[in-house]
Amino acid sequence: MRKRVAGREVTRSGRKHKPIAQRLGRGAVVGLIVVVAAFPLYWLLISSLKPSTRLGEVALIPSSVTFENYIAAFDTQIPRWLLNTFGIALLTTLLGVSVAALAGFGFARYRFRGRSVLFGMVLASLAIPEYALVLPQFTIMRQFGLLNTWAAVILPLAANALVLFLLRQYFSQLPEELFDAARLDGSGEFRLFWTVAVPLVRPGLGAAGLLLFLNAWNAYLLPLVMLTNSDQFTMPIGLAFLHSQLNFGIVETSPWGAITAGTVISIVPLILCLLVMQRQFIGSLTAGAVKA
Amino acid sequence: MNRAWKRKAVVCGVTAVAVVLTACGSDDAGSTGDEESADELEIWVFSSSAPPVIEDGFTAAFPQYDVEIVEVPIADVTQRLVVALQGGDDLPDVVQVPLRESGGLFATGQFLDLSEELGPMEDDFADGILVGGNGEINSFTMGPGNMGLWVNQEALAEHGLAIPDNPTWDDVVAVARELQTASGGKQYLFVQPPGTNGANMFNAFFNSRGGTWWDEDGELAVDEDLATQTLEFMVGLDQEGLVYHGVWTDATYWDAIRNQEIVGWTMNFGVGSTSLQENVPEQSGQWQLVTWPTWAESDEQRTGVFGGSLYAGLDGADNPQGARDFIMWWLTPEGLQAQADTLGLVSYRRAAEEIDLDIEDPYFGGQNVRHDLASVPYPAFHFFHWPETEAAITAAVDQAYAGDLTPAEAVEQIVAELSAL
Amino acid sequence: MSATARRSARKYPASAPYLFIAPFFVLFVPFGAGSVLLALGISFLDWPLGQPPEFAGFDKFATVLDDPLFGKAMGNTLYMLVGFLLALLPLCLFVAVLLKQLRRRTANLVQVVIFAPITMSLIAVALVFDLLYNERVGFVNNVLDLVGVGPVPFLTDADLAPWSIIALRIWRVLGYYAVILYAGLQSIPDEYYEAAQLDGAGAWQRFRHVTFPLLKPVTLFVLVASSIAAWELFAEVQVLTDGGPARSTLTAVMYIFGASFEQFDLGKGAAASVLLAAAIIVSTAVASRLLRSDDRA
Repeated sequence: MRKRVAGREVTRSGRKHKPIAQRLGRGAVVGLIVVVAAFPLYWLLISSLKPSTRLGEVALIPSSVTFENYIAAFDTQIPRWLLNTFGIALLTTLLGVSVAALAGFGFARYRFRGRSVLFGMVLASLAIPEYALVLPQFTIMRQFGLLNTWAAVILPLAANALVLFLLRQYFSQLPEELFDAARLDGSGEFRLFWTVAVPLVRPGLGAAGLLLFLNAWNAYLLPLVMLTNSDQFTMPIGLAFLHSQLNFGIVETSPWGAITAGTVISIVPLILCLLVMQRQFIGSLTAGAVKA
Repeated sequence: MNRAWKRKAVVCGVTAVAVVLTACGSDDAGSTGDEESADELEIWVFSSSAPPVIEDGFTAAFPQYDVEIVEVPIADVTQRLVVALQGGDDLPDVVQVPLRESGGLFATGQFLDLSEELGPMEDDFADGILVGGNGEINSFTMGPGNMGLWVNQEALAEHGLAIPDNPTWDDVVAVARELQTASGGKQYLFVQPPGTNGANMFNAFFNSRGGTWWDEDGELAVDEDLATQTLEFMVGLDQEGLVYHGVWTDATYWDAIRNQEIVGWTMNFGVGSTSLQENVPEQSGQWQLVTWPTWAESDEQRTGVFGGSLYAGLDGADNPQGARDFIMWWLTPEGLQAQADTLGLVSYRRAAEEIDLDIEDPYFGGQNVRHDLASVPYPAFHFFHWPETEAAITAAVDQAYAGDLTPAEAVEQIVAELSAL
Repeated sequence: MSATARRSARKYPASAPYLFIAPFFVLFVPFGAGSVLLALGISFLDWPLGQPPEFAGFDKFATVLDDPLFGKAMGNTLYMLVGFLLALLPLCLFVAVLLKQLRRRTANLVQVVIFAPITMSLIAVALVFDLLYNERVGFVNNVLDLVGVGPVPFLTDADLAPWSIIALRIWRVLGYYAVILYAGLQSIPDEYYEAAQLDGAGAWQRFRHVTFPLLKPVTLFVLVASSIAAWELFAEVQVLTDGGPARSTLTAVMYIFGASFEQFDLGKGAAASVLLAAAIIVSTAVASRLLRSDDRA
């Protein structure tokens, strides 16, 4: 704690010497980035608050505000879909980070027979687009009798080669001396992993968790093929389902209201989660952790 | 690094061979699916209005079936079906398929042949309504995509304009020009959507003149001059500034109707009537359906096809009898009523003898739009090789509208692509 | 055991690495590698819908390579990939470095904002960009109209559409990759910067000699991940332009999707996937080689 405060003071005093113009310039750039990133989100928000007849309104502030879209969203299966999406994404993240952290550590810290072939296989699997993999995955899931279960979505998504790659990168940055020292103290290999390595790569675990979570959160094809009942749908499929009614011209009322409101409803808890996760993974990291 | 990659390549190569062998070997063994009880009936639908009428009507008529309805997004029906068919089992007994995708699916020969049931009824359907592949009749089109010209007559009347009775396209274009002048180019009588919807719009115009790309045997049968003239007509409208560019799936499309920017458009029943009424209820009484104009005064009046849907049974599924019962149920009085309630247009000609189709629609000032629209049939049209055909038309039509190709060159390009299939 | 003996022996039990990687492979072998191998196998098959497959050798590869549309799709994909990466990589490095210079509280807030776009469902993204890009009622065109430009046909002009898609993709993923890079930056000890500052290094020199080299593993990850994602561009295009206008945004995966699920030719789709995978493997190898050779310089 003390150290962190001291560290911050060093940088802050460093900042003091910078010319004010430079700080203003930086502020302006940050402001611009935030505005550009946030603008479509803002547009989504105000679109969700507009009556469906005013969706095409160009004004920055809507001329009338209504919650009818949110009421419409709760009339659909959106709450259920949201729950499914969260459940699947969370379980995928927990499982995916666990197995990838273990394996990432294994690949980064040990030399063993078959290491490069196995890792190369994992990497090469990334190159095949998921559209080519659906049919085989469907066949395999059927063999396992897992169709129409969350597992059919979670298991393939949790075995994420990209996340393994990312975590291996993080683990390989750690200096070997750390481990030698711990080994001299008589620590077992799993203890090394858990007490020495994991705390040092927490930002990496956070990034990996985000990657897995978002991958599951946005997954479309896999849940589409594996889950067939509309009360099992995840948000992306559910929204696509609402949208597709429109495309066929059979829809009675425009689904855009439910889609925009549903998206806002789904983003808000996610952003809150992000804020929490940040404190957990990124925020708590002390700057000098890796220097030892 | 180099050696590592080489080694990986060898590993991949060897395993690939192994997999081919196992894939071939396992297929013979894997095709015996788990037996489902004959009473279960799994139906995939994409119309959100269908499940309630199936649950109420069909299940009441056939209580022996344990019906399971699975809702699938329309865009993903075929994909889900391909995965299931290739997987060998877990097939639905019946699937609702968009008419446009039926050609390719039926050509695979994996669907129930309903020739016995539907063959004797051939005269009860208009030309293009019964569909199938390999000489079979696999189903009949429901909610057929007969096209009409929907007109906001009140908006036209504000400028002292009206579409004449039994118009030709020349008459309509003349009104569109006057409207352009009167409104300062802010109001439109034609809509051209981008992308595949635009290709299908062109296709409907082409079909209304008797045009088709494929014949019933899947042979290329394009009247290139007719296609060129049709495209020239449409691109000409655009160059004159008579066309609104947009599509009804845009969130802003109905605003343009509300603002009376769009006061006329060519469309089928589902979007032209149902969606219009739902999205712009305040314009009730202002709209009118003009049945498809003719290309010359002496022509027989015929429209073009825009789409539609159908239910088809799968050969490999467990309950073919249930599938037959289900599809034919739609032609019973209850089924016909369900069609009329959910889809509007009923393709079965004798439906009027079974149920009351004499429905005056107050939104259209008391006009019986279902009857009027259905009374003008479309010439036979074969949605063969449709994904490729639609893609070829879309690309060429895009280029013609952008001015990169003349209509003649665009049609040539389509035909060249189709001949290569 | 004497100290020398222990050093010559392995420092850990021989089974340790295998135990570490085992759980991942329990999942990966059936659901990852297994599917990849099956897909590879399918590319050598002629497998009509609902019928038993037949061995077709390299026929499907020949079909795909003969098809001018496949060339077009690969070309479009590469074109959009290059544009995307050239804009994305400098931008997200820049944003990550900028984040690092902010007070932590501010940085955390900015992070969440720039990260939010990727959490948005694609259908909603498509709607919002449709509203922004629209020629009549689009916000962007209305602003351009104020300065007398436009309307710009963002999605309906064959030359502009790929760039409109690239812009959308960058908006959607910039924050995501920037945050990953930022997490990597956090692992670089402050002391290095302090030392560099004492040596009188300017901002660019600090980036060049401290940040970039130390961030390389994470940068490589971002490069690999973003380029694979760019090679596999599909959903955004399908929702916004459906490959048009005039096939200007037809991508390789759209081609694969069309072959497999529209033309029902799974062998052709799988063969095209294998060719795409080859392109991805080669380009990834080149990319990592580039970054590594830079290391030695």
